[in-house]
Amino acid sequence: MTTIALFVMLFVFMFIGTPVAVALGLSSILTILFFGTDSMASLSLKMYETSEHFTLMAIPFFVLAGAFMTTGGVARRMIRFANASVGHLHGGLAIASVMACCLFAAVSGSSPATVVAVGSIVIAGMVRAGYSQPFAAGVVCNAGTLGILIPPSIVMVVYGAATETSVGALFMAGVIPGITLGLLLMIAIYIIARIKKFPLQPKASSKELLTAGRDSIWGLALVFIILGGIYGGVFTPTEAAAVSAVYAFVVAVFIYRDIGLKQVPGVLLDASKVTIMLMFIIVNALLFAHVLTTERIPQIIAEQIIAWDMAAWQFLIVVNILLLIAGMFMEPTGIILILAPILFPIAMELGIDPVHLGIIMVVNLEIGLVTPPIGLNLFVTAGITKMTIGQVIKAASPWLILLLGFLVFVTYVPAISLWLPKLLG
Amino acid sequence: MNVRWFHRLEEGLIAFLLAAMTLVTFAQVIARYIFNYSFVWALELSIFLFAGLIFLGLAYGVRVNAHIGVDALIKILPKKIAHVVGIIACLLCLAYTVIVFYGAWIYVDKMYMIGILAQDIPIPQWVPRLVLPIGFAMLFIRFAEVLFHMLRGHRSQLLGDEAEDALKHLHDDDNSDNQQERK
Repeated sequence: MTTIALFVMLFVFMFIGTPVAVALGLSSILTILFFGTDSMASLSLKMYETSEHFTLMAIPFFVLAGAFMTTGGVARRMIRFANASVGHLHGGLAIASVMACCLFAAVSGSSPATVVAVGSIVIAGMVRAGYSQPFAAGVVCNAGTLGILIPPSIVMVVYGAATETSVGALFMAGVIPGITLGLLLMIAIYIIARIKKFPLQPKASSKELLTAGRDSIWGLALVFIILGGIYGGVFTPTEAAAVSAVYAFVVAVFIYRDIGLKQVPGVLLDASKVTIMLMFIIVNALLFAHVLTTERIPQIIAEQIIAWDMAAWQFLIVVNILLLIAGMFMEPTGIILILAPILFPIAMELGIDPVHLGIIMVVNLEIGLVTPPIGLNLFVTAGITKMTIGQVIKAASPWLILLLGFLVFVTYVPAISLWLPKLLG
Repeated sequence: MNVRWFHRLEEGLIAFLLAAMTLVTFAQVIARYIFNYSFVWALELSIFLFAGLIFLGLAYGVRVNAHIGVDALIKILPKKIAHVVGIIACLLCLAYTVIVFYGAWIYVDKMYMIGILAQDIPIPQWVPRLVLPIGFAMLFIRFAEVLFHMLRGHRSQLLGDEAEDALKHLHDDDNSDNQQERK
């Protein structure tokens, strides 16, 4: 009864257009007031405690680092480097675009930001070089999803905080799947380019390659600071995030000189806005998770699933379908926060690795970013190309097959995610 | 009514809180690894700043349409019905802020009565927690403002558009692209 009330309220509030945060908070509060025993003051205490969650503090820092990296010409430098390294291959410009998305994903924790930063430059470039616009848009729209799989990733921080899984291990676990997906996209492009005989570009001189590489190294160093720092035991993920925010500021203002000191308050404000939006959702989602736990909802579902004798692989099919459907309608953070508290305890009962489950969720949410009706990457691609949403959906859909195949691969081959974090212990 | 100074103040405070919490955490790392010295108060201070950023920023989030939601249904509804549904959504937001404000008030009041001090910084616990009632009171005012505009029939938005935000930097990038081409 309580469960039904909670979910009905949540969905009704959400679909009539209250912000996700308010829908989560109000449905939880009303459920507690009518059915629960917690006092109002203890609910406020719960909300305040979110800010004492040290892992979550990584979110504003990574957002800030990403904001400094996005405002500057970091993306432009990475694209130049990518073009110099793989631009001469068949389908070279498209392959270089995928590579640039991978590189940019390593400084940004957000997928739509990756599409905008890289896509706004490369799509026009590909069209000038003779590629069709739908092909160019489709490639970037899909490759941009790597933003949340390749570390740093804000979605992984949220998953780590919601399930108390190590953020460092999640970041490490995202590296090989991220590179694999990037390579798969590149191979697919190469094959299509050979069949369709796309125009070839001249090979860049080794001097150009070297200059472009040296020029983009400052940006790329960020991901090494983060991963090296966490795994070298120098700092926690949250401290790594703070260091990368300060580093990104230094690179953007003093090394690349893309922005002046005068623009810094604007960047801070932009990052604050994203932080406030995410944290408002998280504050309320933790209330929601609190109601779920006190009502023992995940345990009840878990017992049911175990009573059905469902095997781990069968459960993972259910997880994937559930996440793919959710991904069509909601954005990644919200989905993680609503579904992780439910799915996580069940997965643990079935002996699924918490880090592996995290990567499965992230890959599902990547697909959610390019599936209609609500897919952020579709919207931003439409925005930067001036194509209609319908045209972008059509352009992006052939690549979905590749992403879905990759999802099956990641789901049933845990080693691809777990090998690297286990190796580094 | 001139509210620009208040907006500037609000923006300045929010940007300051983010910058301060970043620098405090950064300084803590540097101090520990380079000077082998640890500020005991750094963690607690960054937590207070973070709480301030979140809760004092909520109202700013409404003003700049940061709070996202699901608008798929509203977009396909006829205009008049969508308008009514929008007003209901707004009233729900107001109800939410009232409940949380009330709870926060009781909570802070209790902390005030108990009067315990913070762990490492010599101030009473209730002081940093003031951001809860203040933040939700400001949030109430912003939601009420949206409702007021809706009732007057003005175009007013409750939900933000994340895609729109991500596209904001597009113009600078466009220019640099053109410059590159001219070279």
